[in-house]
Amino acid sequence: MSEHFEEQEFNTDKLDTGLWKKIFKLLWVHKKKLAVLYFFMIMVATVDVAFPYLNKMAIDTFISGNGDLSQLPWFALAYFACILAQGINVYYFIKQAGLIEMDFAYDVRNRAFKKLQELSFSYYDKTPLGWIMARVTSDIGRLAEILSWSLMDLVWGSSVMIGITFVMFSVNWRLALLVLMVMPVLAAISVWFQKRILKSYREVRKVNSKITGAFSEGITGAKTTKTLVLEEINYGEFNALTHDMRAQSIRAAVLSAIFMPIVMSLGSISTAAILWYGGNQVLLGVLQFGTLMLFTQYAGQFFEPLRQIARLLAEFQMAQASAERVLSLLSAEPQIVDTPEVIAKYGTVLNPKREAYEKIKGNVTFDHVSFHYNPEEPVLRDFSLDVTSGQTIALVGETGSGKSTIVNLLCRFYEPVSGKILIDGVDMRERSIGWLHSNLGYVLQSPHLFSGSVRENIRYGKLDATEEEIVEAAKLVNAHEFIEKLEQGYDTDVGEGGGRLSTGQKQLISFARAVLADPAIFVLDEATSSIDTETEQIIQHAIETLLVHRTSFIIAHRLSTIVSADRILVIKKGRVVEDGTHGELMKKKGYYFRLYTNQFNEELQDKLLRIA
Amino acid sequence: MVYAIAIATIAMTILFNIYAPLAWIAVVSLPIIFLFAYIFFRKMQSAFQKSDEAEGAMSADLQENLAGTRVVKAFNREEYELKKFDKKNGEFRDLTFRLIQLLGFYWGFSDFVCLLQILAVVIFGIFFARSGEITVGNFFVFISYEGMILWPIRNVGRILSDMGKMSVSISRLNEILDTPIEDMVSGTTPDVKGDIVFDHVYFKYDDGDKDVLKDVSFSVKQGQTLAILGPTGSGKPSLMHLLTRLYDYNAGSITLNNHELKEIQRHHLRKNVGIVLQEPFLFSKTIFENIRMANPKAKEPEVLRAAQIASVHDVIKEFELGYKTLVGEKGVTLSGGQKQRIAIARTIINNCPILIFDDSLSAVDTQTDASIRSALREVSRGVTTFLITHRIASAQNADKIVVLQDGEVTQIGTHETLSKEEGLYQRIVEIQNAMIEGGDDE
Repeated sequence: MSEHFEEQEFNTDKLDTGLWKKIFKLLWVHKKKLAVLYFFMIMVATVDVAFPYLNKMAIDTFISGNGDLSQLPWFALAYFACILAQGINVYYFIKQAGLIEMDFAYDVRNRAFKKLQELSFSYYDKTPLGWIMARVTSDIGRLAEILSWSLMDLVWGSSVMIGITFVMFSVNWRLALLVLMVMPVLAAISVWFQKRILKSYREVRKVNSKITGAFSEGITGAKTTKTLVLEEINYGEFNALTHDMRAQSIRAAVLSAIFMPIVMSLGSISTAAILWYGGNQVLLGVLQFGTLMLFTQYAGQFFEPLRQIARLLAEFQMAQASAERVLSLLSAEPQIVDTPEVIAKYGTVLNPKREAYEKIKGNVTFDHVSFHYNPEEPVLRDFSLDVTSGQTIALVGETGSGKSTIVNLLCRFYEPVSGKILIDGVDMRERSIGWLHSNLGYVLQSPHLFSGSVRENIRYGKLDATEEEIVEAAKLVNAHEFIEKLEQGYDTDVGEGGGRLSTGQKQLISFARAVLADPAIFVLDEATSSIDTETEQIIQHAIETLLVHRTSFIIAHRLSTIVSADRILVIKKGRVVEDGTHGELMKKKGYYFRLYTNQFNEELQDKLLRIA
Repeated sequence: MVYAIAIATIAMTILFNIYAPLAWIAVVSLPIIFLFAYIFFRKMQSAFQKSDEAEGAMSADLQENLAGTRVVKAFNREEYELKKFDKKNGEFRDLTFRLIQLLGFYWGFSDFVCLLQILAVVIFGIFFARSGEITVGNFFVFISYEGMILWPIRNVGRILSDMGKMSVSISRLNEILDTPIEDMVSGTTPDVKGDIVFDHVYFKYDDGDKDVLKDVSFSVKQGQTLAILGPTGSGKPSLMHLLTRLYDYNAGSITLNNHELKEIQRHHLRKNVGIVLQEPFLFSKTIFENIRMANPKAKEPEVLRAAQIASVHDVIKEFELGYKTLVGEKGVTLSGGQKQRIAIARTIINNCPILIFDDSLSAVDTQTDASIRSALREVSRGVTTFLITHRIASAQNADKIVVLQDGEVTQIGTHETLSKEEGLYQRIVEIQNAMIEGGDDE
């Protein structure tokens, strides 16, 4: 399975409208909240445009004209009303944008998570965990941010520009044209710069993730680095990365530094034009001073929205990669699905109809099953096997012989390419995945625990288990004793991934979990790692308890497990080469005999070494 | 921030020069805004932290779910997992939303105060202008500059409160920088050949209270192979830690061609002692680069030769990209045995006079193990080799076998002598033979 996972590099030069349409569909769920948000944004813009106009009134009515002061309280009141409105507007638009951002992210994350629960193993095989993590956390976060805050800026920016243009033209169209004259140039420059600035920030981020990677490698590989004396080489590489980071960051900073003055001088040109033309008009008495002031203020105010919109366009381009990756996750299709008829009868995994589940006996048949992960490398070829309820099957063979595949097919983590698997005489595919899994117990080579208490982890096997049932399960597999000895007994937090417990302890808890689930078919992928003798004996005993009355498949590594199995299947290159009990197979002096003497005596040796 | 303060200061200076009374009015609310910002963001830190933690909890939950897909699927717990994630996801949403709401309150309120401040300037300005104390132009200057003073001040308060967080980071950083580093450069750099003598060596780890190695004595001549056999916990790895000076022994002496090990420079020592770890770490580079890592000057034929000796050349050839195959998260997943063999190639490329195999063939099957060792013997005459192993088959061809039990050397000899001598080694050999002949149950 040496399949490569290629990180797709998405082309970000053009806005992909089809893609954004799909994204906006996701956003459309929140349309009511969006309407409220845009209402507040337009209000903010209106007030923003109103202030310079109020200032103009202050000058023209109360100062230049030495006008009637009796109007002043009304003026002040109007001004105050605008201020109050603005305070409230600002509060609500931020709240509303935050609401949309968080709701959107929440929705899409839940969707993604749901999808992840449905996806088949083949997806997990070729998609690194880190990639999925990044999609669900940062990419969705970035999208949510853009769709709420950036879109909002767009609404605000265009409202302000429209508002200003409108007021300017209604006050003095000649001056208005003067102000608008530089805007196209300004817009073009802004877009040009913002694109580049964002691009270089993206470079910074890229280097940053490389630095993080190098960092974590440096720590996990510390022993190797020391023994091979790689300190200098590693330092050199790390140094090159941080150097790169610095260069990129400086580039981004320089771009911003050039951008601001250019924009400012352009702004000044337009202000100068207004002052030159308008100033003459004021001196001629054709234009009121307040109006001139209004236009200079508007000329300044016009720029900010423009800059925001330019930034926004660039941001959308950059976010396109995020959007594309998120969509690719959301639209991934699980390869193993139940047929519509099966779903109608048994429900889906997330909405099961448990009342329709048949009781299981535990007879398993592999009927001419073939399987491969990729066509050139067949793993199982025409594999047939009959197991009666209650039997213990030990699967023995070298790495890559196909043992794990048999188990994966039995769990329906994968489906046969040809042939079928029958349970109690019925094709697995005629019943739902949920039905199968609710009758299946599975204990992994390296047990996976979830963070939480010991009790919660055992209860995972049966969510509605009572306290007594949990303790009883623990007792059955001899886990009770050590659990009681833990600081907080069953309430002890096992840590992330069970990190606070030893491997042996984790295994025992995973056994208790499986016992509690009380499955009819039990699959055990036995651990190869060595544990201390005492724990190993306990585990051995636990396994024996587990196997009683269940059809069991064991990918076996321990001698004692193999020897005590009802049937040993020796798998070589996807076929059963030998089949029988330990005694029978040893007499044959065939492949199993060789395997046994070569590999398993080592285990015995190790045991001896320990006893001695 | 400097820019913001500079602009505000210059604007204020100009305003005060134009007309002080109105300038006072223009700055009256500044301390309030500033303090408000500072206090507010200080208080906000816990809300920030909560949101951060909730995000962390959500990611952790996701990660666990993904890592445990098999368990989730096998126990049919998709529904349950979804509910669990939904809860974490919802918590993150709610806490962050609360944070944003607080921020909304801050910006809304501070906008309100700032705008009131402007209104004050406008109203008073009207009066001052009417009474002729200031000109219309100056009135305009006041209004324009007011914005330049107010808006930056809000941010300054926020930045100052962020600095509190920064000082925490700085102190953490210093903690790392202040940790003493391993001394790589001091010591002698003698010519290392490969005669090694352990003389009554004692060793215990800093945090342990028990001696891991007790009174260990043995010697190896250049070119010999020494196998160290012993059960788990007998102190085998510690022996190797001492030889590469990852740790230093507490008593006794170890000499390398009569040079006391403790006096040899670490850098020099490790360049001469090649070690292959049981669980080697490969860097996320190509296989070629990984093999060449310790010896960047090595040419392609040398890399290929090393890979051939380590019996991994054929495996690599089968990869689509051959030696250019990437290793690690983004590349292929290698089996334990493949990793070990690449690590062996990486170590032997250096032509060290001393080689240590720290149980580094444990994931390789017996036949490959044998072929690697015979290939090694061919090419590395004169190299002193340490084999830490639990396989009799690997040990039996060694020039000398040391049996280590509980940190003490209990037997020294060759396969021939030890097979005849009563002890652990003999018992293992006997049982093994019995097993192969009889093929009986345990």
